[in-house]
Amino acid sequence: MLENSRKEIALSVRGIKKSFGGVEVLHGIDLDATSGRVLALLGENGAGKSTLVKIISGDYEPDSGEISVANQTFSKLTPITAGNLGIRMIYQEINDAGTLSVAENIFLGRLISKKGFVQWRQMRREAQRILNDLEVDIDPNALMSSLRVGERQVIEIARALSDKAAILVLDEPTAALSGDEVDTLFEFIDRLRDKGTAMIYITHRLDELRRVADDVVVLRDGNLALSSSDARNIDRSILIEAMVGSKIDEFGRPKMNLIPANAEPLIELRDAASAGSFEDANLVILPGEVVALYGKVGSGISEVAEAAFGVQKITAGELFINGGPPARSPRNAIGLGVGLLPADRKREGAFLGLSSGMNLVAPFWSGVLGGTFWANGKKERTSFEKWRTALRIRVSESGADKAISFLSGGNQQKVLLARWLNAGSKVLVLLEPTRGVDVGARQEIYAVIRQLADEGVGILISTSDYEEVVQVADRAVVMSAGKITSNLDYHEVSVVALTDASGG
Amino acid sequence: MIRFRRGAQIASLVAAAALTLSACSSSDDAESTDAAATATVEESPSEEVVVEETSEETAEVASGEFVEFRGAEPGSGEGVTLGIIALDDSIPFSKSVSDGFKEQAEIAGATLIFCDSKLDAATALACVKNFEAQGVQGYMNFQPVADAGQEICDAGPQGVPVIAIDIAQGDCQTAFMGANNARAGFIGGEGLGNWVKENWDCKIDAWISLEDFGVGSVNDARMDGQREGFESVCGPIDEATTQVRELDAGRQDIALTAVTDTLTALPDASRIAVVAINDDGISAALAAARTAGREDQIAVSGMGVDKISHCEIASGGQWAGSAAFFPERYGEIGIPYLIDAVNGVTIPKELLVDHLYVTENNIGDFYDVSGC
Amino acid sequence: MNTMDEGTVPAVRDEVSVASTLGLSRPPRRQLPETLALVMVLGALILLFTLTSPVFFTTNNMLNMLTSIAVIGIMAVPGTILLVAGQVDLSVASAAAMCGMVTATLAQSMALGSAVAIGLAVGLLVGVINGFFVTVVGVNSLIVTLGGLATFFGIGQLIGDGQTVLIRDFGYIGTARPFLNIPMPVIIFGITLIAGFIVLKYTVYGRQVYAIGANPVAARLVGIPSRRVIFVAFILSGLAASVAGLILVSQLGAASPNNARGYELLVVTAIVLGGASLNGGRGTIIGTFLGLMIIQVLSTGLTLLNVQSFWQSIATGILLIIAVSFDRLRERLSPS
Repeated sequence: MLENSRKEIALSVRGIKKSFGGVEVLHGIDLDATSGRVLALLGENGAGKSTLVKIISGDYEPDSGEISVANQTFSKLTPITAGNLGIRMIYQEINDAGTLSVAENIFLGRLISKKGFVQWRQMRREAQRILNDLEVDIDPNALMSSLRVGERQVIEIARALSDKAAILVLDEPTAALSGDEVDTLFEFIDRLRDKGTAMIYITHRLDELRRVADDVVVLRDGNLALSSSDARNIDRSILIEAMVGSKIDEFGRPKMNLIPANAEPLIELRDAASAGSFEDANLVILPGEVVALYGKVGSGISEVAEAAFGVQKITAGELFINGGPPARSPRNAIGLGVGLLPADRKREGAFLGLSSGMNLVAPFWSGVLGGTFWANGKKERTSFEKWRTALRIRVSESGADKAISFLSGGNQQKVLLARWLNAGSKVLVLLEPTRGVDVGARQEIYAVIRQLADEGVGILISTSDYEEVVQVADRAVVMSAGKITSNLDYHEVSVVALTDASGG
Repeated sequence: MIRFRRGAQIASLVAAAALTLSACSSSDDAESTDAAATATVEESPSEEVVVEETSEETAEVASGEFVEFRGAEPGSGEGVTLGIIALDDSIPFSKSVSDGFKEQAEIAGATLIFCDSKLDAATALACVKNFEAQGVQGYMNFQPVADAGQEICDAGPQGVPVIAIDIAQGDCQTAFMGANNARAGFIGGEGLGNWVKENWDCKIDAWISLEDFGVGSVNDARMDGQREGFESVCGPIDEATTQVRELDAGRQDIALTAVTDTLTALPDASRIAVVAINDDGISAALAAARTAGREDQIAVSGMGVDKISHCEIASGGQWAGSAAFFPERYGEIGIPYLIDAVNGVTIPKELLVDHLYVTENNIGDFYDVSGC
Repeated sequence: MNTMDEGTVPAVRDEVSVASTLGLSRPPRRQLPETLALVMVLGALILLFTLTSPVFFTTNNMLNMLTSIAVIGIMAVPGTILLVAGQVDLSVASAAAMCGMVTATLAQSMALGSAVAIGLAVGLLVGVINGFFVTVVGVNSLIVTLGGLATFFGIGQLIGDGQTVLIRDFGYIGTARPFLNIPMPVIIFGITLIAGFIVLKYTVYGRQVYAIGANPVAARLVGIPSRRVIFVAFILSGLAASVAGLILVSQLGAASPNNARGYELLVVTAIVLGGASLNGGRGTIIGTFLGLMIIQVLSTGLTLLNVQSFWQSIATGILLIIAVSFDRLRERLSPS
């Protein structure tokens, strides 16, 4: 069927460079999107995919290079010119209006109207025609919120195509979709291909490539690492190497940690599932080990970790904490000796207006760690001083009394980590512990984590950063689309293995 | 005195708008005292008085044109069917009026069909249609929207006498019955003047007026009336030697603070006359003076003769008296006159209720003060 | 898509690492700047009125002013606790009036002591009801207490049939001066203030309140029983409302359902003026006291100067706007 479509170049990018704050993040990228073909754009976080796409959509202006669309060449695009040229973006988050009908959503922002009155009948007819054209069997009168996520994604695309879309950019469109919804989307993409639409498909998932892509481009650190027009037959290991490059051997592994054979599990999941988040999860955390739960955003890693803390509810299977029943709430979990470092420091972790000392002792306000009536301001200070030295928290002399918001991100994170050390937690669940933390502080946090493990604390790290896994974890559990895809032991943990397992 | 027929259109519009507003607010606020409720419903006539009449005529009103309380003759209403549209009986003033009418209708032996407008002209319209169906031979109308009066006239039974209560009700209105705020104020001020004359030889250091600026012309009628009444006894208040304070304090708790502060501001005043739009303000003024240890330095006079005033007045202390409105006695005028009208007797176009000054000496005639 | 712009990450990291080497991300700020500003505003007002009115700066007037703010102030203490926890109680004033009506009405037919006890119990019940709807049902406190405002006012009217109800021999808590010639309302207000100050500053409960207001999600994740804490704050607020209502009744010797109407806004004005954030997490009892004093000094001062009450209303209104603007500016200027 590829051979049947027209094969003219719809969009061509040459020598695109882009810097932010003096740091060049794109070092001259060439790329062609062909009508009737799907170009997969691969790359790790930070490789430059988003920046490149934003240049194509007109959101960013390139420093140099040019973009050609329909035989016209531009040194830059604006969102308006990009729109006029038929470039359409589909984002992974669905931005529709759930309370409106399918037809209204297709024409959102440009309802068909005459003299100020919406022409409902004409609009429904048009919507029906567009849906028929795309061979989509969805009632244009249906409420958007009544559709499944995959169908909504399709309507989003229909909206993008309802006027002259020539080039469609899909940014990880399957991130939020379930298995058969992904199939719906892929069939749809196939039909668009047959109609001659040029598509750029951004993804992390290597095996989607085989199903959906014709061409492939891999970016690594702002460079073109690989370019091929035979996406379906390219060897998987070649793609992985192109994505991770020389990073493979860059990171040192921690010393191997010997766990006593008779150790009782601190956290144990048996065939556990949480509806809509993960299923069939089996996982054991023993005292003294650091287990990484690795996967992309949306793979279910954070939900599994949060289940151990009583935030996420288990809907099937079993979860044991210290061999007993699971925590019903965070409060309950704290009583069981579990501590959680949330992923979003500002929104979920820190009390920004309160002092560092108070932030540190906050778990003692739960009442489950031995409640008192009076707050102990002196203890807030002495505890802070203790951990400030141990964790090398950098702050001025009056640090304990100063609002935590005065600290840098890395130092704030250390305070939040110290919170649980101070509370004497036996199990730590750390979500993205070094996100937004500078490199120096990151190494210090890793050192603390290893030291805690040596002291017998069990640690579960949920992370989407493979460097972190390699540097800190004894072993890794890899997840993708809500399922555990791989269990890597101490010797198996490597960037390649992680990337391979998470992309599967 | 022709007040309503000849009314300038603008005046009635303004009055109606003001009335509607205050009526609405009273449904929210549900003013607590008789006096305040009166204030709320009486804007229409007062407004028109202000617009139409010369000051001479106002003085005439103040001098008093009223009808005596008659009370219905037992049996005088046998076989007569009457109707009453109430203002809103969740307001105490309205309820007192309604209860009085019911009582008098029963004495007269007349059938009284009761219908509550609940401060809504549309409900009142439904009431008169219902009256028509039930063969009502004459009715009292206390619905709040003056503008809707004509429409209600047209929708109701035709050719039957109608007595409007406190609010003008279109061309079917046979008579207007209601309170006279300027008169009430005047006798109140007069009463205070008599007290001051007797005790302080008409010499005062300060004149404190606790008003409710929110109710507009009714406030003006009452408060101006009180000052005029006072001056009719003791002569004009000399603002060079007498501190005059007009405070927006129509509520107990606000009056308490305001009077406390004002007493503080007037440390040397030892003869202070206090008037208020209602008895609540006066009771608060008295409380403030007691707290400041200056009770004997004030003389007060109220409006309404509310329950809270009874024992204070009866004790013969600094509370000289209060002007009574007698809403519960409206029926003693309304029912006999309406029965007269039904029987073809011509009745006065104005049935203004008498406002009596209730003091230590006569309070026992109206209220039981034996428990004080 | 990756919502974070990959390109800017290096730049951000640079800044962070520089900041962390310095140990601070921002230059240190003065402690308590808002309280300082309040003290200055209050001082300026006091000076102004002292110079313009001979009776302003007298013991008598100072006691009068404290007596006048006692009713609002007693409600403002738990009000501060609630606002710090990110909640608001707009029903306090009508609850105060209702409790006053209950006590005054019951006192006609039963022993005064029992009537007072029932009045206080009604305040407690108000707190329980508000707390239940906010913490158990999960309705926003603004909505719940706005509903309470109307409901309790209506009940107060219903109880007395809209009338002012007289109460006898109940002057003690409103008018007595048992100690150093200080009026009882001032003594009760003082005790409430000190208790509120201690609770917010020195107890674990106070810490919980600040934590919940500062970051409700984080509070849950460190195990703070947020709902229980907020429930207790509403109960304190209901109790304070009943005490305030009884003081008012005692001062007046009568209860009116209209009493205290609109005080809920004065309470919020004073608290916000005192430095509490409407978003929670910030606020002190001292600040609230200063806020109350500023409002009262302004009101008394203008009355003493015989300024028309229209102007007092305007001044209070402007004060409210300034208070909220302060709040917004502080939010914007505060480190995030």
